[in-house]
Amino acid sequence: MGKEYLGELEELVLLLIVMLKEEAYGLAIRKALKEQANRNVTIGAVHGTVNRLESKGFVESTLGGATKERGGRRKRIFTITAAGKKLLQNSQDVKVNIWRQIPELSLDKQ
Amino acid sequence: MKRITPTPPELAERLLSWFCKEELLEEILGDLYEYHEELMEQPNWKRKIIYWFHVFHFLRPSLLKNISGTQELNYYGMLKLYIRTSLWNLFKHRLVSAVSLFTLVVGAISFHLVYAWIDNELSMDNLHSKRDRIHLAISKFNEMSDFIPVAPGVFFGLDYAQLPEVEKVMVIHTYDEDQIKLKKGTVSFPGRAWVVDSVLFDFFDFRLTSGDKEALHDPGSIIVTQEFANRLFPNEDPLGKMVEVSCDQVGLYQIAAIMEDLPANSSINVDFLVPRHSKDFWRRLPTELLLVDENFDRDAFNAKFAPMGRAHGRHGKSVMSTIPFNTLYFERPLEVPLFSKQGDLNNLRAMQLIAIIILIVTALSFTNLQTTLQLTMANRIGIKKAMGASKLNLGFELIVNGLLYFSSSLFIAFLAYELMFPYYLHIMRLDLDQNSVLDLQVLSLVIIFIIAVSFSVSFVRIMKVSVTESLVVNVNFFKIPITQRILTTLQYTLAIILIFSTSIIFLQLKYMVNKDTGLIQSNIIETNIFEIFPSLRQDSVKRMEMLNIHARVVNQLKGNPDIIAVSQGTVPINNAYTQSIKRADADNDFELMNVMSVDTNYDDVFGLDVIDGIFFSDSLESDNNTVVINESAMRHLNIERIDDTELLMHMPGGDIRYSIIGVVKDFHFQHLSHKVNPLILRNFYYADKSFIVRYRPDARNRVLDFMDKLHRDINPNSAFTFNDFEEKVNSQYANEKRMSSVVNGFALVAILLASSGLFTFAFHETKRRTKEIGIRKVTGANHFQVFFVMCKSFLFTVLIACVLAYPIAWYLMQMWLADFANRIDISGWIFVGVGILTLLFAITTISWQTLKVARMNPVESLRYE
Repeated sequence: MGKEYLGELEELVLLLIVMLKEEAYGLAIRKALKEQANRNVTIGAVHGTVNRLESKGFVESTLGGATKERGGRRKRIFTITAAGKKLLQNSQDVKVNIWRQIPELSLDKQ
Repeated sequence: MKRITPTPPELAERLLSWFCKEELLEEILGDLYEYHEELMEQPNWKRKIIYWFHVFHFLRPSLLKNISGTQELNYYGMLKLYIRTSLWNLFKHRLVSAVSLFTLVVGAISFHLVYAWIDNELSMDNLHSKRDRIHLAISKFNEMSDFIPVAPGVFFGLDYAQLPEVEKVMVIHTYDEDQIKLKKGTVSFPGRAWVVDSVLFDFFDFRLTSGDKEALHDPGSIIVTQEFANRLFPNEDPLGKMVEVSCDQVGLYQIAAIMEDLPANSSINVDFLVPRHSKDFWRRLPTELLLVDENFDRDAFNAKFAPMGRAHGRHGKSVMSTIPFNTLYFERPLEVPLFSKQGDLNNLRAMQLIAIIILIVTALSFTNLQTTLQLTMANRIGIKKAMGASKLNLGFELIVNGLLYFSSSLFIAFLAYELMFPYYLHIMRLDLDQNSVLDLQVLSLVIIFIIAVSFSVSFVRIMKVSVTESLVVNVNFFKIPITQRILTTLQYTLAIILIFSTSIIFLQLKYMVNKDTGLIQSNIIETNIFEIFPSLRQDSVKRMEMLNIHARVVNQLKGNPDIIAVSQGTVPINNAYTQSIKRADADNDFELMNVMSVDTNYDDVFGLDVIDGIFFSDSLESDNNTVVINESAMRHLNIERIDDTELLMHMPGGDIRYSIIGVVKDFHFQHLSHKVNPLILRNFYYADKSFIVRYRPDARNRVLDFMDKLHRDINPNSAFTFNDFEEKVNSQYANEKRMSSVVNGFALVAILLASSGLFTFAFHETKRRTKEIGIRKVTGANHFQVFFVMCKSFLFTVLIACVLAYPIAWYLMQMWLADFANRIDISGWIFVGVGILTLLFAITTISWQTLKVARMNPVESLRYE
């Protein structure tokens, strides 16, 4: 199994995969990145990231059905693995924990 | 609304399927396809840019096909391994590798330096698409005289309409830099010009950068080249500016078009074009070019063309002919002012030979180095074979090795070439255009050729390595094969021939520059003070005025105590022309002899010795029918007493008798490769010719100041310029000087490359004989003896090379010298000198290795026995 840490983009993509459910394939993830986080990345960058996540064992993929608008090619749909869920949970816990220790900053924000 | 949806570019998909992992390809292409749909709203060009941007971002390591091959042994893995071992080998034998690389780089660069020149010569005037259909019309006034490039149409009033083969006729007057200038206000810009008919662009494909080709139809327009325009108007747009043309005609013109600068491979060299119909008369001789149709038969045409001028009453014996434009560069049977450059077929052949020699020498050296290296590594190859390496494996390794050499040497050679090219042009005084694409092509082809030769030899050799021999016997006992010794001997032979040639050329050059030509050469300058005077018919008032000023200038020059003599005319360097002459009393035919026009003071300026009779003088009455001849002419015509003999000169209007009033001692009036030919001096005086002034040796600066002031008095708007006669004499030998530097350069390359071969021998031999040297030293040999033993075997190679090279070099140089009427003898000292030089070179090369061995502690080499 790969490292226990995730890069910032990797974590975002992983979260979006969870959010997009059956629609979590390359181009859709890119679109969601733009809409949710206002991040503009190339399709290639998304593909690189999901492949990295897969080799680390945080996501797995299945091929979807062929669609006409893709020139008859199938989509690869990504789903999060247990290890991925655990890692996301972990990451959130760490952050929430830290946030709790700096109340003044969180108050300012509200 | 129906819309046709364009599919993504196919090329992009192919690129990705080539590079990306197969298992990921489907989703990548699918996503991109979908994305392409999304981009439909964008304009076409923008969509493409965005799409390609995304495509390139797919080329990232995690998506690319795996080439690491660390786990599985595929071809990529093998390649990686081979690159690693090759690099390791290169580094381990870095001395040999460096020398090999050096050989490749030097060889490729030298070859291409020569090739660039050859290519330029061979592509001369290629830019004109109709060059095969252009012919120069020439004529002669009668059977006796020579053909001259005078326009038959103008002189003989030919009607070209009778010749259906001729599509177009163009008349051109060529003006050289000292005959025409453009004036911007009061500032003058001398340049080369064609005064030409408006059909020019139907003949030649000169390209315009601005303005259009119709410009020449307008008599008030002028076309200038980009370079000349920049000189005229450095920081302005020259288009539409007014300039004044000043030659025998004067007029205001508007710059209507700018022409691209002419490339180095153009024999035509002009700075500006003036429409011919803008004036009625141009003083320079007109030349005529014909544009003929596709099915032109030159012989048939010439037969028809030849007598056409006879219809003109006064020239009943005239002959017309044509010369194809595309042959004029290399073979020019007559002087044509139209084309400023001329090629030399002999030179071209010599350069082609040199290029081939360089290629052979380089290939020999590189092969030699690589095969010697293979010898040193024989046991490695043996092990590989024992472990089951196939021919394919060994060959593949060689190819990888070759690729490494190729890429590194091409990189270095290309960089070095691009950097040194301008200097090369400067040193060799060449005019070539730099073309990086061609450079890269030629350099890579040469390097590929050399490496291919070397590696095919290596491959055969490797195949022959016997496994047992290479493993059982100590590898260092492999002797250098006889073939390699022969190769190195050959290299040295070539190098010695070149060194020998360069010494002879150098000595001959020195001899010519210092040779007494029978003329005073120093302290003479030539300067042009007056422009061409108008003729009586053109402007008689101005002519009288000019002649008055001229008389004043002559008086001032003659009155200056620093000036010894003043003449007007042309300096005696290749300015003789030929004319048909014979003795008036003899029955023999006319023959062509050299004639020179001089004024009465010519003998004083150049120190001509009058050995019989007198020279021309102002007081002599019938000047026009007298000549002075030189000794050679006297001998040639069998003249015993000049008073008894008269000469007959053949003229178009009728033969003219001349009496001989004097004989001058022979002097060289041509290149020293000629003997002093018979020469007839005629007395002619043009007030507007250049002044030639000889001054006292210590008065140069004073005289130059004086002349400068005089010049400014007469021409307030132009600067005083002058030519040194001595410099002009020496510049005659520019061709020989260039030849000398070319041969010099390549002699150096040849000896360097030959040395690299010898160097590898020394490298291998010292390794092989380390033990032997150890034993010799233990038994009491000193450094010097060991050094001598080592050198002996190599120096033998050089000696044999000397024996082979000397007769060939001697023969070649005798042939070269045979062209010179005044030449040096090839003395024995040159042989000795060249031999010693080569030996020194060889010893220096070997010492690098042998001295190391000679000084080595014998214990080191014997310990492991």
